[in-house]
This record gives sequence, C-alpha cells and structure tokens, in this order.
Amino acid sequence: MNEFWALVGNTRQLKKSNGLRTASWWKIYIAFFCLLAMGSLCFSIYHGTIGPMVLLIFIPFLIFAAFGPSIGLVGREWSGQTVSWWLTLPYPRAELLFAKLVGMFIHWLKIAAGSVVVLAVFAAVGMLLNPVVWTTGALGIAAAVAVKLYILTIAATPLAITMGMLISVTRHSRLRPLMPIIMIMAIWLATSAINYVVISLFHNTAGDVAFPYVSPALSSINPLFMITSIVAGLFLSAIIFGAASYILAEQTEA
Amino acid sequence: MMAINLENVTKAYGSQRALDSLTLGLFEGQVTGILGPNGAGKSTLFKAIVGLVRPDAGRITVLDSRPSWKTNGQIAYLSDQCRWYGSHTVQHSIDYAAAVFPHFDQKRAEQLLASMGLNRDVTVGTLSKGHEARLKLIICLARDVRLMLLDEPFSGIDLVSREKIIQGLIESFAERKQTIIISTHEIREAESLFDQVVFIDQGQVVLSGEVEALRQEKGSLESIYRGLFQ
Repeated sequence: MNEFWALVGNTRQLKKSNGLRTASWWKIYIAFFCLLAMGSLCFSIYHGTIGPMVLLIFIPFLIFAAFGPSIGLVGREWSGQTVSWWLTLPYPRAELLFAKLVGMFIHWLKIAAGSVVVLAVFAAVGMLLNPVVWTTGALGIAAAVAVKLYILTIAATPLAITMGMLISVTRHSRLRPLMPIIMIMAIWLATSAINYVVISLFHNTAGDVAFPYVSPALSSINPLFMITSIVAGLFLSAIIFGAASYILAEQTEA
Repeated sequence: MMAINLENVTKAYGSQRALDSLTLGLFEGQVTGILGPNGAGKSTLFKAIVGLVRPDAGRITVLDSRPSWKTNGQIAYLSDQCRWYGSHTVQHSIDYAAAVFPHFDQKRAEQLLASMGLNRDVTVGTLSKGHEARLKLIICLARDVRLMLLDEPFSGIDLVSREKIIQGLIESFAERKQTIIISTHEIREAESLFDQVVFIDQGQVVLSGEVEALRQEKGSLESIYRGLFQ
C-alpha cells in the first residue's frame, strides 16, 4: 500500500512540475483574462444582467480541468523518457494507472475546492453590488443547486480522467489506429454532457430571459436522478479504466 | 543455473528484425557483456527480458518465469534512453525509489551518493547528463536484486563520470553475488568487469564465451570486436 501512495505522490509531483513550467508570458495572459472575466461579471452583476444561478453554469465545465491534464499525465511518461522506469515497476499496470487516476482526482478536487471559494466571493460581491437580485433567499436556492451540481460533477470526473487516460494509452500502443474512434467517443460524451447540463438544466422553459432564472429541470434534480447518474458515471468509468489497463498491459510496448 | 534463457526469439519492427531467432543462455552469478554495433538488437533484447516488448516468436525465461511485472521485482533495469523524473531532487529520487522498488537498500544508496559526489538537494532537471547517469545507476545498484540489466550505462558520459560509475560497479559486484548484464560500446574501459561476453549482430549471436578463454584464443575484446564488425 505504501508503494501505491508513493506512485500517487509522484503523479501529483509531475502535475505540479508541469504547472511550474508554464512560461511567465503565458501567466500574464491568464491573469489578464481572469481580470477581464471578473470585471465583466462584476459589471453584469451590478446591472442585474445575471443572477446567482448563472455562476453555477461553470461547475460542470470543471470536468475539463480533469480531462485534458489526464491525457498529458500519462503521455508525459513517454515524452519525459521515464516510461521504461514506469512500465518496469513490479506492479500490475492497472495499479500504475490507478495511481495516476487517484493522483489526478486529488489534484482536481483542489481545483473544485478553489472554484467553491471563487463562487463564495462572487456571492459576496453580488450581495454588495446588487442586493435586490442577490438576496439571501436566491443565494440559498443557488447553493442547494450548486451542491447537487458539484456532486454530479465529482461523480463524472473519474469518467473524464479515465477517458483522457484511454486516449493517451491508446496513442502509445499498437491500437493507435483506433484513436479516431476513441476521439469521436470522447467528443460525443463531452457534447452529450454539455448538451444535457447547459441546455436541459439551464434553459428557461418559461421563455423569459434565460440566465437569471432557475430552470424547473435544474431545481427538480431529485435524489433518484442523482444516484442513477453517479452509479452510471462510475460504471462507465470502470469500463473505460478496464479498457485502458488492458491496452497498457497487453498492447503497449516501450 | 540459468538466469536468462532465450529460445529462437524473434522481434521485428515492420520489416526490420531486431531479434532474429536469437538463442542465448546466461548463467546466474556472472557479469556478461553484450557487445555489438548500433542496431544489433541489444536494447530490444534487454526490453524483451523486462517485458517492455513482446517477442513475435520464441520463448524467454527469466529467473525461471516468463517476463512480467512479477519478475521485474527481482530485476534492476537501466534503459539506454531513459531519463529520471526532472522535478525530483536527488534526495526525493532516492526516497521515491525506496518506496516503489522492492529490496531497495537506502543505506547503500546513501553510500553511493557520497562516493559518486552527488548533491542530494539538487533538482534532477538541472543535473548534467553525467550526474543524472550517476543517479540512475545509483538507483539500480542500490537494489538488492538477482538480476541487473544495464543498457549503455556509459553512453555520452565524460571520462571522469565513467570512471566513477565503473568504480561503483566494481564495488557493487564485489559486495553482492548478482547476475549482471551490461551492453556498452566502451569495451576497453568495461572489459575488466566481464566474466563472459556475447557479440550480437542483426539480432543474432555471432560469438560468445568466457572472456579469459576468448582473450587467449583471439586477443583483446576490442580486437575481436573490430574483427567481427569492421
């Protein structure tokens, strides 16, 4: 068990080192973009264009903070020329991959926790700039929906991570010709999720201004729907993880 | 007792045969040099032993088992083109190796660090090629395993680093009875290490035998190499 957590720790270290390598000019662009986005949001909050529910639309998109990096995390063993160490470790390749999954998931949880802080800051800003729209009652409803969305997003994140791993592992295997099919599958999954969350849940069926109001579908997410979604997400993740492990163990050479 | 046995092992990359019906047996407790020109199949042979490549045909037995992650618990393998994790410090590398490699002797690693002159606080990504090679070798030598595979451990390394590494190898061999297989182009410097040598070309064994017997019969290993491959 000790070696498993060492592998998880190494995954997190690799992830961190990648972040540190980001060029300073790129960091300036990111900071500028963040300031611009925050300024636009504050402006919209002040003018009453957006309400508390709007911010929640960003929560499902947190999945992409797991999907992209998980492709790089496995691929980095090849690009960093460490793959011969990694694949000759005396542990089943499923365990090597699972350690990466856990490491990536812990990293993603930190990002999700950061997003909660950002939402809380915007809630405070909203109450300050536009107390008519950003009432305690509206924020209470938004918080209840946010909890459900976070739970669904957390449940869907292993799916995004395993999908990223599958893409990366397949790319370095004898099954590379299957890459277009796997990419189409990933795009289909992503667009389905976005379509479901953004259009179904956030669309205002009453035909009024879409964003400041709660869609009936969004407020009526019931426990059964939640449990079904979580179980389905984890089931799919297990299947994809099994496929990635099989490809790494049986179809990959270094 | 055989440490490694290959029977008619073939491995091709496209139309290029890296191993061509290779048959080879290496005894336990000996230091074997695998010598041959570039593209002879040396690295593919090492990779097949640790399961990084699968033969298209033939049979490989390593320590009485088929190559797998289980046998890798008893093998320390240093690839010719590998790098260590650039974000680690030297100390973190040793700690990580101690956590993930069974039979890792941390005390031995500390001794080797001192004798090879590596600063434990330096980040691997900032090390010179020679210093990184020393670190990779320390990680292999500190493992108390039955089989050690070193693929080009001196490649691209300056003379001083090479001498340090060879000294480290000699000390390691003196202390432990391991089966060690080294592929190298630095024949003159490394030949004192070998008990036996195997010359490989185009995926096949062209000559093999005890070093002393070959020396008496055909001269130095370097002259035999020139005779075979020039």
